[in-house]
Amino acid sequence: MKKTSAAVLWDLFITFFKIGAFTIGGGLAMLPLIEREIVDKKKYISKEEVVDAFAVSQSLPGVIAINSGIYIGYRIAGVAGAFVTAFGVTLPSFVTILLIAILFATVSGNVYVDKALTGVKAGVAGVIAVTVVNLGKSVIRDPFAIILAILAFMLTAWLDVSIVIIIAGGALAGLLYYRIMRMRRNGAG
Amino acid sequence: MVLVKLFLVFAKIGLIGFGGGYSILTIIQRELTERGWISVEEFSDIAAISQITPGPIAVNAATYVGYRICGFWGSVAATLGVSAPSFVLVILAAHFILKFKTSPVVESCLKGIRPVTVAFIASAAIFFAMESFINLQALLYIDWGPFVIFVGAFLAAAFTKVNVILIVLAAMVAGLILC
Repeated sequence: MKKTSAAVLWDLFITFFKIGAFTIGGGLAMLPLIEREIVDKKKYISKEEVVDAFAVSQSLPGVIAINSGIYIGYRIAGVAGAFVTAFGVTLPSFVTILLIAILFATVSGNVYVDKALTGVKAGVAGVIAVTVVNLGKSVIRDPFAIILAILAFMLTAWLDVSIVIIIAGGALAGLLYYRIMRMRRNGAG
Repeated sequence: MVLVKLFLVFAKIGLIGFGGGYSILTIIQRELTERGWISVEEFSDIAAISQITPGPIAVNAATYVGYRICGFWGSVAATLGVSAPSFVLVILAAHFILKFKTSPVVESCLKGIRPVTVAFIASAAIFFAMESFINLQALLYIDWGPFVIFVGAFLAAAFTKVNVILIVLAAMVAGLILC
């Protein structure tokens, strides 16, 4: 690995640069790309490990694309690999948005830009609503999850409760609830 | 010291940003608009732009807000901030992957956090709806153009296999005509 590490780092950079550049809306869209480039073509890592990378990336906080980049980069080429993938995956959006930030001041307020953006906002609201329904079906399946989701929603929407407290509250509630459930099961069995 | 502040606020967002893009959207919106770093309307614009440009929304928001507050280096500080916690957490998890995967503590916490992130995602949907067609001052008054786009996008995403980015681009074109 030491001998080819510059080539490996370059491959990692390019793959995650592509992921940053071509996955609009992010998330699971990048899985096939990672599999094709890193697993099938270069055989740097097994498919199982990519699945692990995704599971970890989604359960940890942070940007999923960056998380999976760091995981895979680190597994293949250590800390340098992690830096290269994180850099590669953020670079395309960094450059694009920097240009937009510079230009947007000159076009914001333009009536056509406003109309187009209003259309995007309405459309995205519809798309996210579907995500909520689908996620709700898979995540919110017992009374505990229902209560937690409703409570979190009310605290976010109507009360000025800090986001940190809401998330920590969810984690703590999960910890207590499932500990009690385990104790009950063990007690009964 | 604005740069340090930008880095720290975005590092906080990276550290509490559970649940992926749409969930993080709600977290970023709260963190930034409450600080007065960006108005709700401008945030909704950049969030909309993020949906039609490449890359993760959190990186897009970090780059944009960083630039607005402190120019190029502001962008750099904010983007580094939002990714910094990931380095520590992911590398730790990669080392302890077996323990991480099978730990009942991790699993229980995540089971509690997941419903919360669904609530955040619902908040993001409502945020976009309020920025396009719902008016809290006059609930009975609905802006029909964006509302039609909302319903169309919902139906397309729910019942067809059309790619989400195509739906959003179609919504953009429809906005030019209907809004």
